[in-house]
Amino acid sequence: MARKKQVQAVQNLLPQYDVSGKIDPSAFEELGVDRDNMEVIARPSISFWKDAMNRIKRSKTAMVCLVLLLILVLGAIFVPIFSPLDYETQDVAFSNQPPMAVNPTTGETHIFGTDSLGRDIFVRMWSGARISLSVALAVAIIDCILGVIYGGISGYFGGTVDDVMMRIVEIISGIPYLIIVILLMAIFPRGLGTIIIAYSLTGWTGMARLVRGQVISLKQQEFLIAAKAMGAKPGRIISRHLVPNILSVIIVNVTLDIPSVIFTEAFLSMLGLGIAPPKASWGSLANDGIAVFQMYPTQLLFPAIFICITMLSFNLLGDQLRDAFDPKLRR
Amino acid sequence: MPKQLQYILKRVLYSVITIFVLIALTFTLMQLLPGDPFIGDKAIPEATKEALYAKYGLDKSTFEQFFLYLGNVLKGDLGVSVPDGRAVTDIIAQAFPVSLELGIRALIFAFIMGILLGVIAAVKRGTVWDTTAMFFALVGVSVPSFIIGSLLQYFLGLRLFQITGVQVFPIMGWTTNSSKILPAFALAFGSMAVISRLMRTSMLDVLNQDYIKTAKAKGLSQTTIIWKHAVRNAIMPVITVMGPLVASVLTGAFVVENIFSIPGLGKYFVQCVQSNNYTVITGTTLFYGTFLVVANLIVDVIYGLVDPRVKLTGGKE
Repeated sequence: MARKKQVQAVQNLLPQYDVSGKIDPSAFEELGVDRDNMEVIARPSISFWKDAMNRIKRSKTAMVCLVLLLILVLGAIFVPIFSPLDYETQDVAFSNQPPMAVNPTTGETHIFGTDSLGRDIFVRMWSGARISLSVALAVAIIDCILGVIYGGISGYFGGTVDDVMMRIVEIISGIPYLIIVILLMAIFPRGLGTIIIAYSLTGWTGMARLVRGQVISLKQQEFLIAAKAMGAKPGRIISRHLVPNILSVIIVNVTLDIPSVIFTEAFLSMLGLGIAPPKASWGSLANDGIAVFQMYPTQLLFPAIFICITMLSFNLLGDQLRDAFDPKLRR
Repeated sequence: MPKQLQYILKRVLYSVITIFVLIALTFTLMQLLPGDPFIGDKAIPEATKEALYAKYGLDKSTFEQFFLYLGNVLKGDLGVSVPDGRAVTDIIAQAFPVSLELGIRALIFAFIMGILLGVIAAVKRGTVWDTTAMFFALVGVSVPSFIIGSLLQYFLGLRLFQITGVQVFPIMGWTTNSSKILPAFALAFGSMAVISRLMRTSMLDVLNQDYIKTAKAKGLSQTTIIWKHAVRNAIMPVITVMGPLVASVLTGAFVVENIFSIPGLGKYFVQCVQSNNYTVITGTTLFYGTFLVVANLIVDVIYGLVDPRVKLTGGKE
């Protein structure tokens, strides 16, 4: 009885079908087997890099950092070009002005005020950004290239070569980094070239160790053995298997390397070992600011904020990239 | 203990080679300098100059000079500061204790606060506590010590004095205990951040271990589990970074001592860098370098001895 009632209820809802138990064969169509399209993957394939990019795009922190860094880079490129003021013109009659001060004689607005020699701090900030960022980038790239080549050779060949090369790295990295940089900077003539050479002389060892470790662990992985067994040539193994797998680690390390170079540059400028005036980097601006900050705190505050934001952005971005690239850390 | 002994000997050998490379490097850089180290602002009497030339063997070949230099360094003679004629070792003996005290204060502070923050963040994982502690740590990693130092000086030293009329934290000098708080804190901030991040990761790892579950199942209190079982095990990785941290605290002191006018070796070193007093620069560099290499060695050996899980022969790979 109950079943009959149910059938009746369904029949009322769907009058066009016969639900009494008989199936009308004409309602169906035979599709057969489509051997051509059986194995087609329905969704677009997501490669490792696409996957990582998606993760980065979804992370708000990473996007905010990227936007901040983009603004910094664009500002460093364009502000000094388009600003009517420049970084070295002095106006002693209009020195140590607060932010948004308008110069009565020239009519220019100094957005961040002026320093003790009457130079516009806003433009000095951005031309300082050029120097600080380009030094950081140059050092990070040199470290990266040296480290990858050294670590790659050491890891790939292994054995005695690896032993000797790693002992050398161990000794070099045993020497305190900052102290050697200070020594080099104190003895060689000041300038961008010296700064970059001094930093990259000791900085590459970290990258070399990292790359070596990666290459060694990759060499033992099954997919590489499989690739070799299937007859892949060394060129293919390196380009298709080794490089893509190490690239993520390298990118993360470079991202985390940049803030430490910015810090070192600022630190050396504080010791009077940075870029020679009238040019400015963020470190030398902060140094100038510290000399007068008890009277004019904004002169320290602006470089401090710029340094902190940049370091914070790169550090956060590096963390986010690491999470995006490392499947083991995924929640 | 042959394996442990082997490990210690290997570490000692590396440290000795590192120090040797450091000496060779400072020697080479000195050779690259134009003129000789005894051309300073003040003229040195001819007799003194000849005596100094003979003492440091500047009339001999580079190769001989290097071994003379090496011998002098090994005997503890790091040269003479040219402007005032004081031995570099005397200067170090006088100024370094101040730097050491500052560094030790900063390290103790960084260690206690860093561990505390890391433990809180790990135990209260995912809560506001965790977020706050880790944001604090991130700021600590990203804000250089000289900025922290000057901001502290301005707000806690100057503004607080202007507002309350009581000088709680003096902004200069190294005389009273209260004047030692701000510089130590400024120096400690970065290391504190590093320690707290490391401690959090390590604590999270330990809290997932089976022996913590056993402790919970035994009915131990939360406090006992955290402080007696978890922290003791989680603290091990923190010890490994003590070497680099000592280095960052010592070099960080260069700037902090300058900002707070502390008469330590760091301030003196910076003055010499600015006045191109090369004998003191290289002498102090050698001293700092050796100090840090030895500090690293001690940390590594202690770690190797304390934690039986460390692969002794492999070292840190």
